Amino acid sequence: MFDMLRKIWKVGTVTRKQPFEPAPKKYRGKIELTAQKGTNWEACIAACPTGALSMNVNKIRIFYGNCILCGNCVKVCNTEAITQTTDCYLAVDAKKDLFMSVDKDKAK
Amino acid sequence: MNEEELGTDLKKRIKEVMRGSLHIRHVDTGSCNGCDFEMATLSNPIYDISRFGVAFVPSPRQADMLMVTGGVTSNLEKALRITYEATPNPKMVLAIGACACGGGVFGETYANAGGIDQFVPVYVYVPGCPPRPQALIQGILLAIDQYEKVLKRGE
Repeated sequence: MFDMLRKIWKVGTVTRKQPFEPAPKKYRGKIELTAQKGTNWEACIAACPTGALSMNVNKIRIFYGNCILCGNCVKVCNTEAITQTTDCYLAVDAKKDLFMSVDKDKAK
Repeated sequence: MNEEELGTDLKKRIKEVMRGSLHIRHVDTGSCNGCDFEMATLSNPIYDISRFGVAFVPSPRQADMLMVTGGVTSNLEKALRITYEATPNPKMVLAIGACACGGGVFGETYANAGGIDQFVPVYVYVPGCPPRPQALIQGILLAIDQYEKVLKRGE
């Protein structure tokens, strides 16, 4: 019993209080798209293992419902058009919020 | 929703909307168990979710909320429907993980339906492969917001 009490004394409280601390720096979170000139979008789309990235005429669309946050598109991308943040709060209450699209012709 | 909002809310929200407790039934419709492990993490000492009044129950008849993981395989489609019917009204359904939201790595094939919203109405989508426990807590909060609207409409 004393061993147990000693252990409790040593370990202390491990329960995290809300609000929880942010995700670690290397955490692969939400992927964000920005339109940039000279981006090889075809290579990024080909690198996506689940088909979350897609192109429709001149719109690049990402569907977060399919995205597994692997970061392959970020590695392949030749510009800074696709970035990976550490944001892990992705829950939404409508399916249309899971889509995000950018217009590749509107690049600066 | 930012993190500070997430901080104080859950216990208060459960107290005022659910009158103290929220019972969750976990439904596995053919997932790889990654999301299931994250849900098991919710009840460990670090993210001790029972301090907010949330409990995982063994039967859908006792549950307020179904947490569904996995894209629906053809064998488990019937099980999902039966579980949904067995849950008393009003009920919430959470789609946990990329597979439940839109297919994920398994996609839409002859054996895998790709998304639970083809079979049951979904309250909240929590994408991620797997989502962090914090994201699951955020999903529960969003679901409670919608539940409150439904209750008000009913009265």
